[in-house]
Amino acid sequence: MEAEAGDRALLERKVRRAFQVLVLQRGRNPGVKGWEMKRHLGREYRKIIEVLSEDVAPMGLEVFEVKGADGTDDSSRFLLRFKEPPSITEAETSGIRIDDLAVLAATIAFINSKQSRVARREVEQFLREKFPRWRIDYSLDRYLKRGYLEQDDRTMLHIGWRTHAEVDEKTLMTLILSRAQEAAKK
Amino acid sequence: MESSSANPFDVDIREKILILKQRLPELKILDELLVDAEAMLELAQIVKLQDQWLKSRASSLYIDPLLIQLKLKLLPKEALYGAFIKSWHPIAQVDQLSPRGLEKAFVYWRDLVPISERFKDQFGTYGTRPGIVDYAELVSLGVFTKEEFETNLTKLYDELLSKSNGEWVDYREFVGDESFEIKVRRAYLLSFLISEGRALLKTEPLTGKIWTMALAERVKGVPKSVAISITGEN
Repeated sequence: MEAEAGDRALLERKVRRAFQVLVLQRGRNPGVKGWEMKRHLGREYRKIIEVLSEDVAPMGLEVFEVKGADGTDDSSRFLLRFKEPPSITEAETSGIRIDDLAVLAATIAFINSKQSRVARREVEQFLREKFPRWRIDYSLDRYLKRGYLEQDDRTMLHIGWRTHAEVDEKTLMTLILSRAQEAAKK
Repeated sequence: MESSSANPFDVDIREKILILKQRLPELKILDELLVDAEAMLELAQIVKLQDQWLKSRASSLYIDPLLIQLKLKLLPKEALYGAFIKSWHPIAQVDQLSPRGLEKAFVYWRDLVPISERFKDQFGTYGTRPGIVDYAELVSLGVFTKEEFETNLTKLYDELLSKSNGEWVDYREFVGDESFEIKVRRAYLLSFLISEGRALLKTEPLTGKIWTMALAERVKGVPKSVAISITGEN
């Protein structure tokens, strides 16, 4: 009985620790790598994360895993994110500009349609039909810095880790296709 | 191929490898062999791109690029914004000031060189802003001596008096000289003559012309300031 209570207390402590580790930003980028989780919570960290994910669900949150480039557990990044997308009103109150997010949405869709890699100049040229040049440069640089997009040494743009973490790309593509049909009907 | 989004299957890898295979026995020099190895590496990169291309096409995210471009063009930015929000799960996180962050900030501030000293090595000392240099300062800088200044002023006055002879003369023609330094010096001296009431200045805003005239007798009136730029051009 005592052993059971001890185990429960240990689990609660570890879950609390996992929450603190995930919610406090440590480095420049949000989230915690798998190897860090192992260091903080021990080898069974995935079980702790599962419990935490259930605990935060009533608050509209979830623990999300973004697989690393090599696919190993250590390179995975764990994040605490909104379980459901925010409402338009909620997003508006956060001070995000419509133009900025529209640039990002169009860029993600464009890159995905081009086998996940496209020359930056090609993206810029495409976006120029809808947005002013200064807005495109500013937004692309900003999203590169924040990890939503990635640019290699050949100035090819790719989808960044943060987009994989925050954006349901399949839903985005579906919505773009369906809304375009609605816009065309109007 | 790697720096464009062209179809990697446009390259016939088999054909290229056969060419390299045929040429290999002819290559004797190290440089040629290195170029050959480089070509092989590039082909390997294209095979990698082909692999990515196939994976992307096989994924559920694949949509014909032309179709998606057309759809994106049709959509107003508000609709794009709405589509993004509906597929967005923002990261929940707290930005906080940690003791370690505070310590880093303190060390940074403590070691920060004052702005006046910071870029001295790269750019030298800062120049001063445009301002007024008066006669006393010029004397103190050794540009003029008092005697030389008076002599030069009288000389310029006599020159203007003989040239104008009661008529307006073109200001730029009068102060103009081959040497920029002399031109500035003459303009500076003339400004003294005008300030002292020994010469007049007239401007024509429409044509941009400036006229001057020496007066036989000193006059007094309400002083007015006129800004005239002196350039190195003749």
